[in-house]
Amino acid sequence: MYSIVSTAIVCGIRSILVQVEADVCDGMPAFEMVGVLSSEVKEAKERIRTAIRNSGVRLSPKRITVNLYPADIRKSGTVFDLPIALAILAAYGRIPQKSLEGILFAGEISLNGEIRPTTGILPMVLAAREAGKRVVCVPKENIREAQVVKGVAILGGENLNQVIAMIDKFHKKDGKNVVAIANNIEETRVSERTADFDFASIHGQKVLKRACEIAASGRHNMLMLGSPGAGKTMAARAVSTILPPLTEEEALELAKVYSVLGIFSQREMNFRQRPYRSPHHTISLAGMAGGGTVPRPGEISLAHKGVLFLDELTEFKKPVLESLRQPLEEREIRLVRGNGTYFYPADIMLIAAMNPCNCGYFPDKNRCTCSKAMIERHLNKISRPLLDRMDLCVEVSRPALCDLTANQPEESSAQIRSRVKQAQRIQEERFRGSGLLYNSQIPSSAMKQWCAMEPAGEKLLNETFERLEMTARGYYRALRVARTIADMDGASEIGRVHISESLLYRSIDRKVWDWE
Amino acid sequence: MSKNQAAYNKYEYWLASIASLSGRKKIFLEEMFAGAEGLYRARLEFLERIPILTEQEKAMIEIEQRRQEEELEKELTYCMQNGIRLAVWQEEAYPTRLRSIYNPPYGLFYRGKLPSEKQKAVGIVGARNCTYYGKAAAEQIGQGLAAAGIAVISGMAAGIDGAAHRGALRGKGSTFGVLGCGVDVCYPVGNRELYGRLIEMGGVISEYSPRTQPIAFHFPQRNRIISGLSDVVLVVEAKEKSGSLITADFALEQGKDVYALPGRVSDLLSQGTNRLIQQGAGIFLNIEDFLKEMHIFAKTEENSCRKQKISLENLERLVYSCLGLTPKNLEELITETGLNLGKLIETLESLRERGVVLEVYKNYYVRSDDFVS
Repeated sequence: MYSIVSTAIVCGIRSILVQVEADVCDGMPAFEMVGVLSSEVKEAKERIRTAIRNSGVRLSPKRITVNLYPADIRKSGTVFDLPIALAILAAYGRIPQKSLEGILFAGEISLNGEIRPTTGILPMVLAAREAGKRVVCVPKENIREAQVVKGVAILGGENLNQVIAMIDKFHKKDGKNVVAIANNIEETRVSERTADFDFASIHGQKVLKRACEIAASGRHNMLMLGSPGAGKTMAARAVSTILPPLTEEEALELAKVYSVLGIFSQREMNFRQRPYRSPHHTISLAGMAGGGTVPRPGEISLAHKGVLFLDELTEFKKPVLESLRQPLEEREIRLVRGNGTYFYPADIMLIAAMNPCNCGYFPDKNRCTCSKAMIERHLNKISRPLLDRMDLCVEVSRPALCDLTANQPEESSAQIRSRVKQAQRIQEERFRGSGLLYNSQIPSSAMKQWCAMEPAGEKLLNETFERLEMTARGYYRALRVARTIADMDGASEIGRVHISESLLYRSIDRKVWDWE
Repeated sequence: MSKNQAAYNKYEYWLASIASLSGRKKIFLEEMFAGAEGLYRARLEFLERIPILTEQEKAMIEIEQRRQEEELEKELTYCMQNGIRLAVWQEEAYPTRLRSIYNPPYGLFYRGKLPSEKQKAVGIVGARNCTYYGKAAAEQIGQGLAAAGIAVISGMAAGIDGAAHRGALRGKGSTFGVLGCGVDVCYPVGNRELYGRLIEMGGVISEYSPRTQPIAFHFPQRNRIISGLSDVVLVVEAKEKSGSLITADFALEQGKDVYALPGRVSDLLSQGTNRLIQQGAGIFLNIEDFLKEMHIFAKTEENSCRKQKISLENLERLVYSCLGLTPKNLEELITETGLNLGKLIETLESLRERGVVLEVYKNYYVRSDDFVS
């Protein structure tokens, strides 16, 4: 007898539907599986046979053939255990083929028939919905992840027998009940956790806070330069709390990345909150940008639509830093492998921090022992192209004692967030229909169109351009930042004050001393 | 240079370019052998009998003697093509001031000029890794001295040295850099422009032969030439243990006056100079006093008319009063002035336009007024 069951495979963060066919016939008893299978899928053979037996189902020895198609995609992962088992049972006639139709199955099976959690459930459920499936059966542990997708009924499988009983019930038009149960659980999901971190806990540091707000408003990348213990890490952490919450669509795309890595639980409690990732500087290239023989998304993708914070920027390996350049431009990571191209989302706001010199105390000459050459060497660890992508560069000093002990309340993240929202609304209005979202994305060709300056502002910018021997890139960067500052001010034209403030955040000078 | 002279110079060039023999011994040997050629051709038996030479030095001279005459001629051609000249100790051009020091260099390679005998000369030395205070002081002192017609001698290093030279150049005076490498080598590379202007307005001088690379132990040695060429040595900024203090020691040994720029007791880079003052060095307070003590009264009026009164508005005065010679960053200024960021930036910008405030490092500000004259 022949049977067919639907399942799916994850490719990048997309998912492709896969059909599992099984055929049982008379002949020499054998179990054959075909369809470009990786070793973990081939091993399923032993697991499934044992699991079926241990579930109390006796199968007579027959010739079993299983095929997974489309046959040109390599099948890897462990989601195929459950659909293969069900396909075989259906082919033996133990469960009616009709009851499997319209349902997508995914899950790993252990020898005693229990269904174990697996990775990539979220993209699979999304693919199922797209393909018109209305019911998806996933391991019980993955239920919450699958329920993020609206419009699909989720069945949670505990063990093989329970799944068989459940789909049987479902088939016998008792389905409504099951869907009701599924929906019931749905109500309890996503209780937004309040952020455990707030701008109000940072005392003083007015310049730094202002820079953070500008960066968040225009989604500019930011570089913080300061001595150890100045509060750089705290500030970066706080930036993610002043960004407006994710839209449903963005949140879903981000959750897919976490699902593929099997760490959906990290997003579960704060589904709409912007992600904040701060990988340690020993991170490898694959860890940052994604990769591996079976490609997995990296930290950049995990920080999609949120903040990627790189502390001790100079300590990162050069190739790792350079790998940031392309995603910062294209907001997407493309990994090309022999068997296809994988896309991972990478729309990040990059915040980096570094010491101004090796010892970290420059320009305090009483503590800093670094020579000019040493400082130059230190700064040269960051390549020019990467530096060019940092719109804001801000100097952070240790907070003064009087600021730490001051009693006056500091602004909370919520207050700042509302201003950031306002500034982003202005940008949204301006860029409607142009494909841009934030000021940081304004191309140099469109500067005239969107960054109109008052004469006094233009004069100041041009003068400074000459005086500091700025590059064309630096000029445009200053203009973009000034645009954001003007937006925060509610001004339609960029004025002199906006320009002079944006020049404060210009990139670090390669020359250690300006006055030499 | 006539042909004869070129032939004559070849051996002097040879002697001058021997690196590991002190100037004192070179002079002794030259006199003993009646000229550098005599030493070049001297046989080992003769050398053996010279008591002041160590075994290594004898062996070394013997190795140096193997340099072919053609090779030396080539070297001389290279020097001529590059404008490098050599003054050996018995020549007219050789600075008289150096003749009297202990261990004078046998020969001086130079590009540009050598310091004139008639002109007073002040050596300005200090730390390479200096503060804004030291840098600004060196520059202003260099300028003031140059304007008063005094030559400024220094070492063309980064930091204080470079600043002193630059100041002197701005004062349109003559200034000389004594190098620890060959005169055709620019070290540090960052001073390329300064190097060119020194040759134009004064000279670069070295006792090491052309193409000699900067080696650490050359630098303390060249310090004796800096002090030797100067009438007074001024130490601008130095840590407790530093090369600038070696120059001061040489100056004392050579009987020159030593001055030091005082600084705050807490500043690491002023500890060396403050110590010098404690030991009896002259205190540099301002150009006028300094010149008086050097018995020069010329051209000081020019300095005083440079000072102009600038009237500042209230906010500007507030911000300006918070600034000093130690760089302060925005955060400190916000705390001290109590202004908000926007107002502060505006005020700093207008102060900068008036030329009384300088941003020395990103978001660090100082007063940029003349404080030594």
